[in-house]
Amino acid sequence: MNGEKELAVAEAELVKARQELAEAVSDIASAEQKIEEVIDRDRPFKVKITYNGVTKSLEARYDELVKTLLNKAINVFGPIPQPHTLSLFNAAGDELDDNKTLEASGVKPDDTLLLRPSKVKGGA
Amino acid sequence: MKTAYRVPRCIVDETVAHFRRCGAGRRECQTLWIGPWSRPTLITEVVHPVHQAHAGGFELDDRWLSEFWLRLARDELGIRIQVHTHPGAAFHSATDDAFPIIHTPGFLSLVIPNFALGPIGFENAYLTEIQADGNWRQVPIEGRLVVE
Repeated sequence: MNGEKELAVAEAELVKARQELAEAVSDIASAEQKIEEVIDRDRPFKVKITYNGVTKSLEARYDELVKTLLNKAINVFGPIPQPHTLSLFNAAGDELDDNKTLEASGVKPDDTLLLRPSKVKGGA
Repeated sequence: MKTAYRVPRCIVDETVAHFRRCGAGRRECQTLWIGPWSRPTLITEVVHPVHQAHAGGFELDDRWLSEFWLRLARDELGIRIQVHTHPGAAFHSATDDAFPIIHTPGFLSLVIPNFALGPIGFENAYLTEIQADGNWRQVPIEGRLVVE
């Protein structure tokens, strides 16, 4: 009788231990994914910039400011003597805030960004 | 060596037709002359942008501009010349100077007087070009726009 009781306790402990093991495996996977994300964030990636029908590939980083990428794009497509009139837009047509990072702006590897004027207008 | 653009006669006719229909003698209007990067001196198409306009000015639609930018990239086309009307004399205003669609030196802007209601062509029109320092300078139409 005593032996049966001990066996039941041991089986319960085994079930609990298996649950804890599964949780630990899940935690390890989650930690590994976070490490990968941190490594990826620091790794440079390529984005495509298009200006007047010409597309060029530029290196970018997640922690880089939009303004930094904008200046690189203007240099690549330059000379452009009034660069303050140009901004970067995503493919959906949203203007990127110069003072945000690429990560905060949602820019991802292989994205196409538009180098174009914020406004085009005329008037007599 | 300054670029001379070859402009088919039908491009000029279509441009004036856009100005007269859209501007109706009451509003300014703009078109864009574009062509393939594989043949950079040839104008092959008139684009009539989505825009808002009044008697003394116009502004392109922001969403349209982004879609157009993507189309230029996809089809390997470039904007060669922006063309717009004025209610009276043709010249480049401070707004025209400050807000062109392309900012690269050598880019041309053509202004057509009197809401394009006069004779079809470049009579009393004004052509100006972005210089290396970013300023605009009037240039002769003859020799830069070859209508054929």
